[in-house]
Amino acid sequence: MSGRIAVTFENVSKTFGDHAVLENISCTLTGGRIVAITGRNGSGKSTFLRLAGHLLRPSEGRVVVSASAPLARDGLRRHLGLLSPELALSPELTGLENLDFLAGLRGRTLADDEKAALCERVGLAPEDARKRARACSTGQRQRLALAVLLASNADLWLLDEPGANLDEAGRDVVRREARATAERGALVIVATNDAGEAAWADEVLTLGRDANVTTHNEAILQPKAPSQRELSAKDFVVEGTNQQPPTTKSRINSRPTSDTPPAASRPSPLWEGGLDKATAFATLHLLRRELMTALRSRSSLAVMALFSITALLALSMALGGTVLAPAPLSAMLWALLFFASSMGLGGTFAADEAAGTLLLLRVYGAGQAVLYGKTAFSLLMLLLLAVVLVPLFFVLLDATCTAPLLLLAALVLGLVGLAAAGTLLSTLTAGSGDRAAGGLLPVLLLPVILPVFLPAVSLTQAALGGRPAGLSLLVGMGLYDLLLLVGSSLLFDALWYED
Amino acid sequence: MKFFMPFIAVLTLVVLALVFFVVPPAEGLGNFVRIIFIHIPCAWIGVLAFLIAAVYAWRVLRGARNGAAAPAAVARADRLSARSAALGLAFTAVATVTGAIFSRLTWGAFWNWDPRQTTILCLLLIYAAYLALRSVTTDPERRARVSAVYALFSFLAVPFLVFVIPRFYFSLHPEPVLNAAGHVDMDPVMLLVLLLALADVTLIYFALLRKGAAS
Repeated sequence: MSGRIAVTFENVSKTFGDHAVLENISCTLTGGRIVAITGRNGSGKSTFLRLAGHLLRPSEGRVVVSASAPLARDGLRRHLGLLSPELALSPELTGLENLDFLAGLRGRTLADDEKAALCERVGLAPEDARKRARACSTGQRQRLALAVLLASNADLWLLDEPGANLDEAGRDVVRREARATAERGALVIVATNDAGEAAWADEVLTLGRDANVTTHNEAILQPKAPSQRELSAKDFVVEGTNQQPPTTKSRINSRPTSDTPPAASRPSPLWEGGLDKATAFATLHLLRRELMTALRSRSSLAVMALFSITALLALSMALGGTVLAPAPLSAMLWALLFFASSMGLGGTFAADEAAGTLLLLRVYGAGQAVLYGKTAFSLLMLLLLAVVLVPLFFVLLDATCTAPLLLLAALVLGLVGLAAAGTLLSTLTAGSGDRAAGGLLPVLLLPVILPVFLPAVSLTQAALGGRPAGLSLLVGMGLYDLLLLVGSSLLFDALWYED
Repeated sequence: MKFFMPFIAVLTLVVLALVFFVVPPAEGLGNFVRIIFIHIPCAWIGVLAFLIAAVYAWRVLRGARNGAAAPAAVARADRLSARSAALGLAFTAVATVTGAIFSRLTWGAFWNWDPRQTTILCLLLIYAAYLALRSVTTDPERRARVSAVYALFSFLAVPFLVFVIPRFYFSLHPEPVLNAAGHVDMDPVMLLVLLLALADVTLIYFALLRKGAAS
């Protein structure tokens, strides 16, 4: 990092529906110290943390995170670390694998001795680090999350109730590491209700919440030294006691000052040549994690395979040995593939949301790397489905293939389109906030995939000896696949990043 | 703008009068030809509304990228995008029904998966999916972004569905007004009434869209 990190809140308000959590907050927090955010339950401590890390978008105002210059989204992610009870590690990976995976998302490779040293620093026994995360106790997982945070080399630490689930020794480890991190110039923000944890801090911000105690949108600055100071309503300033002064002075109802850095620049999606070495590295780590999770839990693969086989058996039984013409055969094959794919793709992000690992990916993963990794995994999953389903389809429905290469090309291009569109659309349904949304995926997917689906059916029909289909359909499918890949790359960041 | 709605009302009456009293019966179709003066303008609005919804969706994402500097503008763009989609759904539904009736009268079946029928059904599905997605997304800010992404992503399919797919599959559907050779092969009176009907329905669409933006 070329300069000390700073987080500037400029007239920030955050509402959830009609409920205002934070109102008109302005402050600058600079690196090199620990700042505690305290306040009653519901006063907006966790919201403040998420706003600081650009994990939430302000309803009004803006939050600028800068080093020597404002950080772009992916740049910010490289500086960010979070420790929170809501942040879950990949349950099917061991502690050491989680460390590998999350360091990989940040473009780093950890040597075995580095991992061992990290585990030792956080007080995690080697045998515990080799257990799968789901087999670890809550406290062990919290220590592991701290090890991940240390491995990330983050300059902006967001600690949400960091002592939760930890014993006294564990809290000491967090305190010691937070202090060491602040001393190397990083900014550590701790949201807590625990007086002991608040005592670690150089500054304490108390968010006013209860109208009987303070006004709703009042915040009080409580410097530990040299004297306590209370600001009048609506805004607060964090001024360094022994560090560099803040870059922005806030006043009541002040607007952003002219020396405020401009907003962060765009990341680089596929279309802009953004598949750089770090993104490729992170993509591979994500793909590896998805494969390991799928192979160890097997649930999503098994459900998808069983669904398609059951549907095929039902069809075959209902037909009772009737030999079908190529047209209905190809339609049936693609209908089976479509619905089985919808079922599998629906879990692409929903599984992470259910396991609580979506927040982990948002904190440590760059959007494009997550998209590419997930899409690659979806494609592998669909190809595996085709390897199981298609031969069975030929056997049970007594179909004959006269042009295997044409069938292969139609399958590959069709499944690429399904994977590209399905991965993006599963993000829409996973984050909708309604469980019923998962069932919407086939509805959302079919119209988008139709320009691939219809040619795929025609080409499959031709491959089964039916009406010939022009190769131009293959070219059209390829072009549309490309369009879907580029489109999903361009649009994914709008879903992935909250800033 | 005070005279906008009365003007549309008068124009609509004129168009209806022209359709039912001036347009001559067509060869082979007789008086059934009058249905195309509803079907074609509604199908046109089906596509136009999609384009407008996508344009406002892009504004939602662009506004959101600029931070919360103009939340009112983002909310307005989201409202207009959703309104356009709802109007598109209604106009596309009318186009689908009138098309199916026309199909029954001329080809003997309401539905035969003609490429253009497939296209219009696909538009209908996209609109329905878009509105369903909005209905299950609870947080307003997220709803705006999620539905904007879907509007833009599904818009990728439109050029393929409208221009590419129909050219690859056999279709019973009559040639578009402007045919593949670039000629207009239509009775001049019919063409004039059709253009007036298109203008009228387009104005109705924009009037309804404006009303939605204001509410």
